[in-house]
Amino acid sequence: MSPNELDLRRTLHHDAERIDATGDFAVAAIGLERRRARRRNTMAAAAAVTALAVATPIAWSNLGTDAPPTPATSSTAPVSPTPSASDTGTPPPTTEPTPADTRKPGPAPTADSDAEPQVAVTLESGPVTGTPRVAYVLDGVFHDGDRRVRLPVSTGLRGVARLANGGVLVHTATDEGVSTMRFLDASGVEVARAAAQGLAVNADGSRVAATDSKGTIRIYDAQGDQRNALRTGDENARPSGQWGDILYYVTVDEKGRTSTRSWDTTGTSTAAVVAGSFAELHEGRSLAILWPNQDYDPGNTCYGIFDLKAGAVNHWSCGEFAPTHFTADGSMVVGPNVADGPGSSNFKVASADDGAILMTVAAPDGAWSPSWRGAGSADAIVVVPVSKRDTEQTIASCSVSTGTCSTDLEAVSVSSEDSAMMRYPIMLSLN
Amino acid sequence: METADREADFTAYVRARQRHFVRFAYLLTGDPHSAEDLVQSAFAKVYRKWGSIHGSPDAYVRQTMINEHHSWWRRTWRHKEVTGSDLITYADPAAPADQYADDDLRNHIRNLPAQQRAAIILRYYEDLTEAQTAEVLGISVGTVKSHTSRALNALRVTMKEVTA
Repeated sequence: MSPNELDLRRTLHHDAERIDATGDFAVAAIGLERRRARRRNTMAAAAAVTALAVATPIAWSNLGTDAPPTPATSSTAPVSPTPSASDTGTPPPTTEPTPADTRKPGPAPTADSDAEPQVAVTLESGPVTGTPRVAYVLDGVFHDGDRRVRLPVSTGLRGVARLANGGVLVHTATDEGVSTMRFLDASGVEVARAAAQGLAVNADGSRVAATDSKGTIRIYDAQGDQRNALRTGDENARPSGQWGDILYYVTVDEKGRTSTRSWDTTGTSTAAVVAGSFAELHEGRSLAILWPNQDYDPGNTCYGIFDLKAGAVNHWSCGEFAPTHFTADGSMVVGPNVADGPGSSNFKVASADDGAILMTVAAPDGAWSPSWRGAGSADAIVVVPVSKRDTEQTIASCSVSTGTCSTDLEAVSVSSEDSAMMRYPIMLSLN
Repeated sequence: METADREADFTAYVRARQRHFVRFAYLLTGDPHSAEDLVQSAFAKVYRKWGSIHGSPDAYVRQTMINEHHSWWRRTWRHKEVTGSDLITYADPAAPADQYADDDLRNHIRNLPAQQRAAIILRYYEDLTEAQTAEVLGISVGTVKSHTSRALNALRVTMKEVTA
């Protein structure tokens, strides 16, 4: 073990000594398991009742009383995998994983996100052959095509977005967790500022939704003027995205399960939509990536493609893939392999229509990427890989139709200090 | 195993190992109360399976805690299932010889992404091999090497700053 490893080991042990177990965890754990057993029994009884009820023509995922009408279900209607059985509107069966738990989701998903891709490519560093297809920040300057806007913040940057008036939205957070968004005009001058624990910007940057620390969601226009507000009563409420005047936001119940609700931002009406949370919406195609309430299982992570008009899931996919973004035209979804953990550079692109895996993008061993998204041309994804040794970062794009990747920006150096703190010079715009 | 035997066996094990796992959980979560929740929740799951666990209970408990903690991370919000218990004490230990370097490094470890942090803790607190760490986290040995390499690189930078 090297001296550095010994230091690391010593620090961990010293830190751990801050805490000690002084109560009886055995008694507490046995009591907790008994409470869980009672709950499982209750849920099992409720599930049995639900099994009788499915014969009735009720849209399974539509929890809202005033949500859009749903089409009639058929024999091939979307079926929720076991982890998100709460989508039926009934208490879910227990899905607590243990190392020995080999249970698979009950109803078969419609797609296997571990299937062989049609195209497999590997990111390689090389000369610049393309141009960035998405706005980005590099060393504190916002780049949007030929436009440059210097940002008035140098630390704590969490996100940036284009605003419809040519301005820029800048989201920052302090080490103490205080999150703020600033509305800049086209020249980079701050014109408004507000709290933003959670944030969602629509595609054209004309509407910004943000939550404060008390769970109030506020809607702002591109100038930073507040247009409406909603008190959710849930300090964990977060905006997911906007579809026209409808804002979707997620809340969490006392069991830790998420639910997505809709708010007609022209007024005050809200409605339950579906259990789980939306990772991203595509306004043009009226679709959302739905993450069900599912316990961690890196080999069997499920997602659904939710039709906002129909109020129902088009299809489910399960595997190691957890998409987070749509491509520009909404025909595909992109995301990392969950099993590889945060920051993975092993990406997949799947059809938003049927979940078929269209492309995998692998990074050279050791390299990784802190962000990615679909952008630019219809079938392209954009990633910002960091070199294996954390010394360089760049922007790359990969296309499903050509099966190739291009380097779109001259590699920029990452200082060893920034590398150590996981601070990287490039950040992609949210829209 | 009869229920009474099962409870007695489980209780003896937990009482012998709870301090270790509370500390392991504290390193994973960085927060005493979350650590308490994590250990209690994991032990409850282990108790449910106690009669069918073969091999080392430690490995089983460790794996369950890692899975549970990942589950919290995946859900973004964590359900607080345990309330009002008082099973831990928390205190600042005596300052080490080089307190500032220690604090810097500790803060850096806490700010690592969850999986990198878990890899470091499994390797250097639990003293698992790279292969064992990879198995617990469900990732490749190469990824474990990458995670530990980044952390050690950070350590080098931190130490350089402190001693400069």
